[in-house]
Amino acid sequence: MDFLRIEGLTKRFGGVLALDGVDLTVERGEIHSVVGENGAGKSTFLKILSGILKSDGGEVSFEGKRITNEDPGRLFELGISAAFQETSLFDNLSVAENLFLGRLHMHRGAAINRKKSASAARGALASLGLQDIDPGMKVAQLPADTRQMLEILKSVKPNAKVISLDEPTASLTREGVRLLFRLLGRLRESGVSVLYVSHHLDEVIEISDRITVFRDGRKVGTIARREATEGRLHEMMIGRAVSHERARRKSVERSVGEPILRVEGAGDGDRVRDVSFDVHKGEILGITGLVGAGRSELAWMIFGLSRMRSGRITYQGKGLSKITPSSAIREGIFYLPEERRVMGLFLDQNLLVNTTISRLDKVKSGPVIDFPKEKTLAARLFERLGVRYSSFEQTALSLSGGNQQKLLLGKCLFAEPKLLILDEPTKGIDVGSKEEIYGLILSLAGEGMSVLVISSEVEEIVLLSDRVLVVSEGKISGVFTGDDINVHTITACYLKTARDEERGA
Amino acid sequence: MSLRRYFRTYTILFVMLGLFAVMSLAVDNFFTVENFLTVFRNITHTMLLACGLTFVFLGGGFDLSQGATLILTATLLISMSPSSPLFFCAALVLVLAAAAAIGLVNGYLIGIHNLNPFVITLGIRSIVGGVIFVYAAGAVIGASVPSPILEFVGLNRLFGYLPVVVLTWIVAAAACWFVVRHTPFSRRIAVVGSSPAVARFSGLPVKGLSMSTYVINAFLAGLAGVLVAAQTSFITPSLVWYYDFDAITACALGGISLSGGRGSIVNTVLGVLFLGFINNSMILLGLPYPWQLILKGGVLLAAIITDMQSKRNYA
Amino acid sequence: MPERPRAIQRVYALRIVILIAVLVATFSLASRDFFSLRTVEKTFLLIPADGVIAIGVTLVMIIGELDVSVGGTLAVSGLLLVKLLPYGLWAAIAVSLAAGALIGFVNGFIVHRLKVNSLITTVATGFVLSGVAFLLSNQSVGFTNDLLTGFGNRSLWVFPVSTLFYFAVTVLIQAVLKRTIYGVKLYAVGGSRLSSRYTGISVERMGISVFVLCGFCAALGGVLYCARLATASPTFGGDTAIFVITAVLLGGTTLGGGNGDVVRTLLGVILLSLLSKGFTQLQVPAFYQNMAIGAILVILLFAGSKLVNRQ
Repeated sequence: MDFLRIEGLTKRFGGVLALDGVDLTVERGEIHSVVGENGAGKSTFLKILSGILKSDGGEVSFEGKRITNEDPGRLFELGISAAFQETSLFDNLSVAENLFLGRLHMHRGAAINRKKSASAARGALASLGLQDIDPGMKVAQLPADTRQMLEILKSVKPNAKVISLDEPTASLTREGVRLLFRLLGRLRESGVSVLYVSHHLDEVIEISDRITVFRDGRKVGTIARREATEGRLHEMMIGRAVSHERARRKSVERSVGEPILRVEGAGDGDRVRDVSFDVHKGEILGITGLVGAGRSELAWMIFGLSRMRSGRITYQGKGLSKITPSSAIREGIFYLPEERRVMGLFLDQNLLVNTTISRLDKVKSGPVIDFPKEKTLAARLFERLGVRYSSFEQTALSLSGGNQQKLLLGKCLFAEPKLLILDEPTKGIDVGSKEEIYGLILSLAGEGMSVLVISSEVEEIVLLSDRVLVVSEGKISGVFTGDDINVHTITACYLKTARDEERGA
Repeated sequence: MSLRRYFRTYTILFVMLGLFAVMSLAVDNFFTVENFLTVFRNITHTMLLACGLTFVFLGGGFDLSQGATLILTATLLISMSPSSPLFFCAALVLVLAAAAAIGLVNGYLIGIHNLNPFVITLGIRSIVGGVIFVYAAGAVIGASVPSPILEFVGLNRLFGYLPVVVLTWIVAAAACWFVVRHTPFSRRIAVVGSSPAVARFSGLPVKGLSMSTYVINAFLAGLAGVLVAAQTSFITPSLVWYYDFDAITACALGGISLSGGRGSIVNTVLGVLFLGFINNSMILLGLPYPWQLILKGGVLLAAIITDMQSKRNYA
Repeated sequence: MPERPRAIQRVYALRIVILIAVLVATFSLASRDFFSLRTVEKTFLLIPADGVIAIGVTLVMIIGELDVSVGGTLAVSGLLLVKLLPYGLWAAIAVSLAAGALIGFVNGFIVHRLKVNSLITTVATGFVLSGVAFLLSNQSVGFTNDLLTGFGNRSLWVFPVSTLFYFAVTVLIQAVLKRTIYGVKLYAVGGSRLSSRYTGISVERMGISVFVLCGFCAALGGVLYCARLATASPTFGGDTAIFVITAVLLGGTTLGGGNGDVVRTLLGVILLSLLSKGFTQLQVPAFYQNMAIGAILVILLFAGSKLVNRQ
C-alpha cells in the first residue's frame, strides 16, 4: 500500500490549466522535492494537497484511504500539514499561541493550560535551534527569518506524517537552512515524509531522496538523488538543453553616455549605510546581493520613498533633496516595485487606470480626461509590450502574472522615465514572458534609457547588465564590468559576503 | 468592474419602474406631477449627503459626521434669518465655510494623521452635536421673523414647476457626476481608495487627496443644511441621528464599494431616488410606521445581499 | 526584542483609569455631594444594561466586525419580556434571550455566510428590529414584578445587584477570552482571516457564533434595562449603539480586530457612565457630555497614534 498517492490531479483557474493530470507517489520517510519554473504548478499542487484549494479532477489517497478535497482541519488529524510563506501565522498572537493553534486537532477540552503550552512551545523551538526565543513574544515582533522558521515549526505537528514545505528557505539565513535540514533529517529518520518545493536546486539536491520536475502543470519525471545534477534538472524544467552559463546577449555594443545619476555616501539610517555609485545614460546597471542587504532600500531613497539621512544624490547634474515619489516621477525617475500585486498595481481598477495614473496630465484635455486619447496611448503601449488582454475595462487582477508584470512596466514607461529602476522584474513569471521582458529592457536601454535592475537571480543580472554591483550589509562589496560579469564571479562575491556575515554574526 | 456597475444601474431602474407600475395601480395619486415633485423635494438633503458620501467612500473612508454638519448649518442659517439678498449671501458664505471647516478637521485627522475614520467622525459628530446644543441652548430654533429669502429658496418654484431646492440638487448632483466621471481628480481619489500604498508608489499625494474628500463631503452636507433651513421654519437639534443612516442606505442601494476604489454618482442618485420613492409609497399606502421600518431594512438587505452574490459571479 | 516602554507610553496604557480618577476628582471638587456613597451607587446602577451589551459588541469587534443593531434588539427583547410576563417570569426571560440569540444568528449568517459587510447589514437589521418593536407595541408598557424590578434596582451596600451581575459576567467572558480555546481562536480570526483558513479554523463558524453571543448580550441588556425602569418601550435603544461602541473604543479595543477584552470595555463603560452621572449631578446640560465624549475619543486616538510603537 502506497503511503501517499496522487493520481491524475487536475486544477483549472478560469481558462488556465494549472495542473494537468499529475501522478506522484511519496514513500514513507522520504524527502521528496518538487522543482519547476514559476507557474509550473508547484504551489497549486501543494495547496491542493493541504486542502487550501480544491482540485477539479484526480484522486489523492493516503495509507489506502481516499482523502481527495478534504478540509485542512481533517487533514491535520490524519497527519498531513503544510507550511507556506508566512501565511498561517497570527501577528497579534504570541509564539506559543501560534504553535498551540497548530495543534488544535490534538487537544481535548475547552481550556488552555498556559504553562503547558509554553513548555511545549519551547520544545518545538529548540528543535530548530530557536530555544532563546520567548514563547510569550508576539509574532509581529519577530524578524522575517524567525517567522519563516516558526511557520515551518507550526506544520511539524506531533502526529505529523507528511509535511509539505513551499519555498521554506526563501527568508532564511544560511544558519537557518542548516538547522532546517537537520530537522528534516530527524523527521525522515522517524518515518515522516517531506514534500519540499524550492527554487534552490543546490539545496534540493543536497536534501532530497527523490526529485520530481514539473513543467507547465505536468510531471516531467522523477529522478533519484544520485542521478540529479543542476544541469539535468534545468534541462527537465525548461525542456531544452541550456548551458549553465547563459551567453550574454550583447550582440550590439551599446554606447553608454555620461552619468545621469551620481550617488555619494548615501545612507538611510537603517539598511543602507554607505553606498556610492554612478549610473550612465543608456546603461543597464545590475544590483544584486542577499535578501535584506539593502538593495531595494537604496532604490527607495532614490525614488523618495524613504529619507536619505547622509550623503548626496545628484541627478542630471542637479542635487536632489527632499525627494518624493511625485517629484521623482516629474524628474523622470520611476520605480517598479518588487511585489507587483501589493505595491505596483491597483488590482480592482481597469487597465487604463493602472497605466496612466502616474501621468494623468498626458491624457488630459482641459480639466477633463480625454478617454479616446487614453485608449489610443494605452493600446500602443500594450502592443509594444505584448500585453495580452481582452478589453480595456478588465481589471488588473484578471490578467495572468506575466501580463500583470507587463502592465506594470507599461505604467512605468507611460511616465516616460529617463531612469527606470526595476525591482525583481521577473519574479513569479513564466519563462516566455521573462524572455519578452528581457528583450524589452535591452531595447529600452538601447534607446537611451538608464535602467537599474535589482534582482536575486544572478543569471538574470549577468544576462542584462553592463555593470554589476553587489550590495552587502548596506554597502557596495563588489563592482563588476565587462568579462568579469559572469555567474561564477558574482556568486563567489555573494557567498563570500554571506560567510563574512555569518562569521560576523 | 464596469459590467457590475451597469448591471446595478439597470437593476435599480428596473425595480423602480416595477414599483411605479405597482403603485400607479394601487394608489390614485401616485403617478402625478405633484407627488413626484413632493418626492423630489423630500430627497433633497439625502441626495446631497449621498453624493458627498460617494466621494468619501470612493477614497476608502467613512464619515458619520455629515448629519451633525447639516444640522449645524441649518441651525445657524435659521437663527440668522437673513432678510436681504446681501445678508443672505454673507450668511451663506459663513455657514458653508463653517461646514468646510468641519471637513478640514476630519480630513486633517483622518487624511494626514491616518486615524480611523469611523472613530474620528463619530467623535466629531458628538462634538459638533454638542456645539449645536450649546448654540440652541436646548431649545427649538426658530426665526423670530421669517426670512423671505429663505422662503423663496425653500418654497418657490421656477417657471411655476420646478422647486428651487430640486433644481439645486439636480445641479449639484450633475456637478458631482461630472467631477467623478471625467476629472483626473476623482480618478486619483479612486485609486487612493483602491490602495493607498500603491497610490504612494505611483507618485500621488495620498494625504491631500484623502483630506479633500472629507472637505467636499462636509461642504455638500453644509449645502444640504442650507436647503433644509429653507424648507423648514424651525429645527429641533435632536434630529441629528437619522440623516447619516439614510445617506449610507442610499449609497448601499446604489451598490457602492465600502472599501473604496469604485463608485458611481449615477448609481448613488438612483439609490437616493429609489429610497425616496419607497418612503413615498409607504406613506401613500398608509403603511403603519413599524412596517415602514421593516420594509426599509428589508429592501436594504435585499440590495446588499444580491450585490454580494453578483460580485461573486463577476469577480 | 521588545523595547522597554517609555514612561509616557506606560501612562498612555493606563489612560482610562487615569481619566476615571481625573473625572472623579473634578466632579467631587465641583459638587460637594458627588463623592458620596449614594452617588457611587447611583452611578453603578446606570452601567449594567449598557455594559452587558458592550460585552457582546466587544466580541464582535475583536473579530473585526460591527453590530449597530443592538439598540433594536434591546427594544424588542424588552417588549417581549413585558408581553410574556403573564406566562411566568423565567419563561419570559428565556424567550427574550432566545430571541436575541436568534437575531444574532441572522446577523451572523448574513455577514459570514452571504459575505456581506457587517456595518450595512446591521444597519438594515436595526431598521427591521425597530419596526418589529413598534409592531409589538407603539407605546411604553409598564409592568409590576417585584423580583425583576428588585433585581434591577436593589443594592448590596453601594453595589446594585444588577451591577454585581454585570461584573460577574465580565469576569466570566474575560476568562473565556483569555483561557479557552474559543478565546484564542477568536483573536486569531480577528488577527488574520487568511491565516485562520490555513490553520484550519472555520472563520464562518466563529463569526456566526460571535454574532449570536452579541445578540444574546443585547437581549440580556434589554432585560436589565427594563428591570431597572419597570417599563419597556419601542423607543428604547435609539442611542445604544453609538454609546456602546464609544465605550468599547474608549476602553482600547480597536476596530481592526484581533485585540481588546471585556475588562477594558468595563472601564470604558464606567468612564462614560461617570461622565453622564457627573454632568447630571452638576446640572451641566447634556450637550457638554456629548462634546466631552467626542473630544476624549478624538484626543485619545490622536495621542495613541503618536505614542504607540510603530513597526
